[in-house]
Amino acid sequence: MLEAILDKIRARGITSAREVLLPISFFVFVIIMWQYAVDQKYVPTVILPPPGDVVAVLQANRDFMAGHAVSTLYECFIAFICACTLGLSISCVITLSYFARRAIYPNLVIFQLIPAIALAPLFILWFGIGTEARVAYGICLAIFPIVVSSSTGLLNTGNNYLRLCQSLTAGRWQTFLRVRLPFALPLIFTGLRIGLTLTIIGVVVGEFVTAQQGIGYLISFAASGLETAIALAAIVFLLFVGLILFAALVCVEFFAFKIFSGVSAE
Amino acid sequence: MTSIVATQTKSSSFAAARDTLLPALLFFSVLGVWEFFTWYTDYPKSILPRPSAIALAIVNNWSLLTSNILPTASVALGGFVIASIVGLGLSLLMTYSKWTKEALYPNIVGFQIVPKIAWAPLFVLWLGIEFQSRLGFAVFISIFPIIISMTAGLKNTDPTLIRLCDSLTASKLQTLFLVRFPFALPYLISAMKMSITLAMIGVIVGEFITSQQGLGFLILVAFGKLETDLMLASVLFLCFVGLFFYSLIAYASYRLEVWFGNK
Repeated sequence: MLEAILDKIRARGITSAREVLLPISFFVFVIIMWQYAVDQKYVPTVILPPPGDVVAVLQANRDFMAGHAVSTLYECFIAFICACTLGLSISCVITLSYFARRAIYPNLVIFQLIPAIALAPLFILWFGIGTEARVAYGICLAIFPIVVSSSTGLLNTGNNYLRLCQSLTAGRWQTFLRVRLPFALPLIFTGLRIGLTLTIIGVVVGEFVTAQQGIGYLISFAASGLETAIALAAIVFLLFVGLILFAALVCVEFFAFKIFSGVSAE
Repeated sequence: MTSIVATQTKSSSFAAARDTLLPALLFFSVLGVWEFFTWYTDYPKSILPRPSAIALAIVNNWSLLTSNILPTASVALGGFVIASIVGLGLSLLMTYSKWTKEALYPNIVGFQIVPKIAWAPLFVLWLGIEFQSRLGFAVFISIFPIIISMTAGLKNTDPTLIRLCDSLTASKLQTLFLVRFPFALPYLISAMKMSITLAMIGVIVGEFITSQQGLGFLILVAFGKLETDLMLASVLFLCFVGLFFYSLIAYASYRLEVWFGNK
């Protein structure tokens, strides 16, 4: 049992206990230095509260912060699902239609140049200061890498496979579902990962600007009130939100590869 | 950028013309539909301005727009340069010291999980409301791709080449400049392209949170006055600044590759 786990760990490239203990001890060392610096009054508490304060804030305001974290999680989730659906449909259209491929794809690549971050006030203008604005903003940020990555993956199936499909008189849909899609899965999921990161960024920046609810609101509100401990605790909650969302994506990826197993190259 | 598989065989000049004209046609027809729709329905200017109104706003506010380019662009470029230098230094340290790499690298990769945008208000708290907080945040945001990419690039030189260098009694410095660095150049270039984009994003978000000048600040001012055409004009100018920096990096990387003999 232990041997199986150790083999799995070794397969990931970790060969000695030192490689696990060193980063962990460095992290602990940084926390100790942090506590020392605050104790010796090298750093004012307003700039950097002691780690104990952050933990205390976390415990005292757990439910209040969890409420905001759940709001952020919910908005990120909705935005990501919509961005995936929209993005994957657009890339399907791009793959299946010659006209769409040549007309839309170059425009999409160029439109990535627009710093979508700067459009946050525009979305408030269009959607108000509620959930819709933040979700729409998250979708807008996430959709470009999803479409570009998926389209690249779907369009670049090996020529030999496409010729084989043609020689076996496979229709466009058949080629798409049985050949293009399984081979494109790694690139599609790379795009989805980038899209998820950007969704979280979009929702957090949206919360900065709309300042109503959510982790972003907590952080900016706490920072403007010089409550650094609350801001740092909110960042810890954001870490958990990100972990939950990424874990969900990894599960979906696992099942997708299982369903299309045997074809996709890892 | 990978090329699109072409499954039709036509003459190459027709294909080239078609590949540039078709997307341009789509772009301009969307622009035309936008203009017609907003003109026909007299759409409220503050929600969706006409493209011609945006062009007019650019002409009317030219001096305002151009004077605000410099604060944004200089902070972004400065942040990128500092991030490159510090990032390169750190990755060199991690390449040559196994203990540093093993201690630091997993922490750096793990730190990536928290979206760094969330730290923006804390940087304002720490560094004040002047340009230092935006500069610091731009450095913070753009340093990670450089560290991660360069450490990977410098470590992953072909071991055969390193052995060759050792057998020819090359010093560590010579190996670095003549072998490791040129082979790590593609990693550095892609990291720099990502870095400059992130630096721009960092500066814009910093200006949203606190600023008295710059294009991000101009966007907020226009938002407050509900002048959506000025807002979109500022976004357009931000596009051009971003495009300029990206081309700068692309050109600089081309010259770097030529100098190191990769091209």
